[in-house]
Amino acid sequence: MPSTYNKIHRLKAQGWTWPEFLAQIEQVSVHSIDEKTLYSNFRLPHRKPNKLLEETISLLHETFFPSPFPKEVEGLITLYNHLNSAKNLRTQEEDIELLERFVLAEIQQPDSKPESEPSLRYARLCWLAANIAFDRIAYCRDNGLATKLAENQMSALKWFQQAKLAIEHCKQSQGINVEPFVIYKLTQNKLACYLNGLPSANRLDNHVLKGYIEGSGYIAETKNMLELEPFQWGIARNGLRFSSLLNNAQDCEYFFRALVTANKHFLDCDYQLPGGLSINQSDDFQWALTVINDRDLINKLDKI
Amino acid sequence: MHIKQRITLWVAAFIFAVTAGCTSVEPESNAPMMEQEDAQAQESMMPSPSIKAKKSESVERDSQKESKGSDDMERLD
Repeated sequence: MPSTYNKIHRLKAQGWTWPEFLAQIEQVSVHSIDEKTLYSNFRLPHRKPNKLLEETISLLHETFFPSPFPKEVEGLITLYNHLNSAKNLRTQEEDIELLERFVLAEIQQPDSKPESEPSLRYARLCWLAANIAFDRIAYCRDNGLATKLAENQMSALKWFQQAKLAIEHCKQSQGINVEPFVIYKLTQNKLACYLNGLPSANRLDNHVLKGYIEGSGYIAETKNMLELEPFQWGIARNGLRFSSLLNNAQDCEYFFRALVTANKHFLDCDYQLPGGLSINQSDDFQWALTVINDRDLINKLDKI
Repeated sequence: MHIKQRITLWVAAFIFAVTAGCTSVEPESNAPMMEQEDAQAQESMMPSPSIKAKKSESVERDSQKESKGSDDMERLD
């Protein structure tokens, strides 16, 4: 799910003025949101929205940018996300396994198979199966479970790829309109399967990871996405990360500029979002930081 | 020491102990006070909920610092 920050930006990018934005909110919600709250959530990526704003913006976003996937599978993804983030739930892993068993059985139904007629329902179920495997990767890595790590990595990659193929098939053969960002998410998720499988110390000189980044067309696809949605600081940050891991100075500059364009707070390399690391703190960006300093990018961009 | 003197000493010690015990207890207090005191002592050893929360936050921040560089990518839905 995109963050409230991204949703506000995507809605605002339609050309609404703030009064028009507030009027649209009134159309979908009985509660009113004051302009100050809306604007501060627009300006500050680290700002945690209150529950009312989060729900209202989600509702408005769903109205103008509806998910192309069937609602019942979207509901299942929401259910899984709640289950996965639940704290102190004794049966969490068993419950996730039960859900996974159901999802895999649904995917393997004869009418769900891609050779019959891949549907967006099938694609989203593959996505969910991939999410479940993906979320185990970091745990397996941190606990030395090498076999399980490889299994979950393979499974996540397989289902993300299957989801991508199914969506592309639906677009081509059925003329269904799916936003480019939807496909891009899958490209990024696949790359994340490789990255998260590695401890941070092994990322800097990993030939498999570098080979995958170069062969996947990720950098070009990321630049295209930022042309469409320049407010997506998360995409720019990951572009900077992988340009750093590839030791590509030109792309490092490109993505740092994109990051600052997305939000000026990122001029400060210590800028940290809740639950995340700043660029200065993360090993993945160490090479990029030398480029940023050598080219005096902070001072140059600060003057713009 | 004579038996009489010993008995006198025992009685004096007993009276002293009882008197000392009574003066340290408030007149309106009753037996459960000991339990209350114990409970309070235990509570004072436990951090209050807010302190606990702050402590767990700081532990979280510390563990983030420890895992400096382990910057995982979030999956996109």
